[in-house]
Amino acid sequence: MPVEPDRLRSGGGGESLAPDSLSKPTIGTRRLSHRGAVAAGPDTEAGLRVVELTVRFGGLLALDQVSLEVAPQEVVGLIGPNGAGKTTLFNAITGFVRPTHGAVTWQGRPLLRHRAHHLGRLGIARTLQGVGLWPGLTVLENVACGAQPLLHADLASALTGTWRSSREEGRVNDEAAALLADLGVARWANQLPAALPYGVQKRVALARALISRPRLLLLDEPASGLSMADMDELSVRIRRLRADMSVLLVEHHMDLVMGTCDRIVVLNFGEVVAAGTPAEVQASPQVTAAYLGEPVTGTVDGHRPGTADGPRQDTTDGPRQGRAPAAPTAPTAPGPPAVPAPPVVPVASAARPAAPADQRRGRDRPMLRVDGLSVRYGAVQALQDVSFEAADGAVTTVLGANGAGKTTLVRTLSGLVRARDGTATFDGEPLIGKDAETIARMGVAHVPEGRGVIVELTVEENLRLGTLNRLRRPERRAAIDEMYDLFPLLGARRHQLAATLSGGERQMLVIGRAIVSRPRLLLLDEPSLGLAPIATAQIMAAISELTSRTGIGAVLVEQNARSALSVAAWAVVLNLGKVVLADNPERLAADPNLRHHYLGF
Amino acid sequence: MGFFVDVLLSGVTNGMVFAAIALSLVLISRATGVVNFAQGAMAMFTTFVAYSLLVQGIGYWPAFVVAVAIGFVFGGVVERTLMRPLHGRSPLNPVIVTIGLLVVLEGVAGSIWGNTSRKFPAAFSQNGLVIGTTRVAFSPFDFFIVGAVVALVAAIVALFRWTDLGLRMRAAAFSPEVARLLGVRVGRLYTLGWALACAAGSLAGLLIAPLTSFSPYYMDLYLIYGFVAAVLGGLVSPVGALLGGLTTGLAISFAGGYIGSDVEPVAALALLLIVLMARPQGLLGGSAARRV
Repeated sequence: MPVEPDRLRSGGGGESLAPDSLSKPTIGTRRLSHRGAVAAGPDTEAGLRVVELTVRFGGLLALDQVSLEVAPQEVVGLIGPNGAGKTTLFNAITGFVRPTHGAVTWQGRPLLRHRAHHLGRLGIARTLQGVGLWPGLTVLENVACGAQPLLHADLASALTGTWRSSREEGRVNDEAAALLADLGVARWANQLPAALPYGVQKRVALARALISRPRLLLLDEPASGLSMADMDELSVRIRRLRADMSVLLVEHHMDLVMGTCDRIVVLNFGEVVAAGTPAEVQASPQVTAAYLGEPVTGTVDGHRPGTADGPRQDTTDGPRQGRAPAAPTAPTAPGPPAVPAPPVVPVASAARPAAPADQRRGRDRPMLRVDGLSVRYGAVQALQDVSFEAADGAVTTVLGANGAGKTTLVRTLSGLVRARDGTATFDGEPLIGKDAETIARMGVAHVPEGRGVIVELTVEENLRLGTLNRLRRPERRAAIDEMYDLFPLLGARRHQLAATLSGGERQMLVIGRAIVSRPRLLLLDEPSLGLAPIATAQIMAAISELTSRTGIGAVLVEQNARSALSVAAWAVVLNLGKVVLADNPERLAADPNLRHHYLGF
Repeated sequence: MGFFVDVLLSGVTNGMVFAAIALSLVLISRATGVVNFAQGAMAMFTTFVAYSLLVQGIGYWPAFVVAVAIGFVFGGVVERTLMRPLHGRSPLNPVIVTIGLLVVLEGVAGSIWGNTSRKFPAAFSQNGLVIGTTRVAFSPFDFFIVGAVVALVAAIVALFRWTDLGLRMRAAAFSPEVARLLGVRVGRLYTLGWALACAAGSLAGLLIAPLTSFSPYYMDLYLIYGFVAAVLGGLVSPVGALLGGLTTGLAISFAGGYIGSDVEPVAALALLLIVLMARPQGLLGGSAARRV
């Protein structure tokens, strides 16, 4: 797919990397395949209507004329890769973010003038990413608080404990208890939420939203951190809620979205790129492109099960087969979208014994060896038995959708997150158990995504900071000047505060700051995040060139699979914290299972 | 006119003293986000150590240097032993611990040195200078106060702006996680931040002691004024602390001079209230202030 001009955003980082490639988006040519689908929705006046909503944060265009509708008794899914603008849209609808332009109406009434706390009275309830329960209140009290918008008793009567307020309180508590029973969590009603399993907490949060009897329910990533069984349950429940209300669902788990929603709207770079029924959306090449990035060669089309399984299975037989992870199931064709939890492909996680020559350079011992790494955040299992290796002089990419555990993996390797189990060695030296400062001084440079610039410091101070701990004083100046030769834009802005840089420039700066420290291994966390395709391609090329020229290793964690695969020598795919695919990039790029692990269809 | 000048000059002197306390609060709060309520008590304690040394017959300047050095070590030790374990917990914990430390230090000082008021010697004459025929409310010691505090602020600013250590300290304060990923040993810099802050606090204690009646509680009111000054300056910037101190000092001096000395604390709190309502981020405020 060629890069179309309207995919280049006018805000953000695109212009800084490729000033001349910037052309004004022409609205007329946008692919609005969703127009028809929206119009087909029944009785849209009675539901939620978002018309040409635009949100700008400084120079960043977060939402660009987004229109969508949610009819009564309709479940609409809102999906899109990281940074697509989903949460911004949610926040604009609920009044947390003030839009630059556009309108939101609910049952024919404009919503934008309402304060966020009035939404409850209008029949709108929302859940938060994570759970957001009050830790000091019991489960029952948490749910009862959700009824606040409906209460008639005022503060004075509540404080004085009048007959009216206590009667109302009793009614609310009964209702809360009934809801908890309905959700199957009644037995925790009198406990504090913090100690409960994550799935239970999520249900309590849902109960808190439901007790106000909303007509419109906004769910922000309700499935994050849930087990497969919980997710099934959630899907069924949302379908049942549909009888009484409209639902707008932001979610990364494609299985849930595809199996639950009547219609799906896909955002990318703040624009609607597709909309329609789950089947229509799955068939849309724009959706695949939004998630997987621009293709390297041709388009990965549809499901062709059984084409690529052969060679990969071979790699699982190796000297280390003793630790075959996570019960590989038979290779299957991806199930119908409504069925969650397709544990598809045979896992090639750790072993790479018969590694093809193209992924090894010279040495027998891999530069980085990760073995059986597991990480938990409270009740959430973020990484489970992850094993892979990375060679020097080459890029090893770790792919996966949102929530797959990619960032956790990088943070664990760089010492910011403590592993529960497993090992990682760098040039034979263990990494796990060392603190982040020590690991950085060993020459492992974790490159956080663009937000990792220190905005209160100038560009040059950011770079100087990179040189302090690994270079001797006389070498530092030269290293920084070398960086300015590589990224002249940074040189031109050396005395500016990093806060004034665009997204693409910040990305350059974090990469540059890692490179000036003369690292031996780069751990790059989503360098393409929020960047336009051309900027992404340039960053990828720079990383590739750097590794092959200097011989350092790079672990490239990316959601943008296609651009990462184009520079990688070896690729690992994570899904729900487990390694589900490991192969050389050419085979992986052609593998329908890659798309399956991203999109679930 | 003479009265006005006297009020102005004593306002400047007071302001410099408040600025020194504010600076010690700011150094800690910008590095670790903690307001050290024990700052005044720690300064009082080191000043009492200096007093003991003076009583032993050691000269003023050796005692002065020892007190500041002890303040430096004291700050580092408090960070490592009392504050470090609280890191990443509820922000209320450090508040309670530092208030507890304040109570303990004042109690211990009272039991060692007694609660009676005494006179702490000044480095220079505290008699006002004579200009022409009039004596103004500005003594050689006041001159020393202004010079010492301005030099201290300048040194701290230079440290932050032009040295590698200062760059590390700023990085650790602004973005500890990123700093760690670049190999900056953030924990050590927190310790250093506390040490520097408490050395500055000790200096403030030594400068204030001759101005007031010297007892274990002599810093209490000054800590409040210093806190007002620090908040006025935005709680993050040394230059802000200097300006905040000057503003507070002048406000208190004019309120005391023209209305009555009883209203001085009220004037300080009223000033705090007004600034917090009009400019909650402080006089300098915002990210610009964090740079200096």
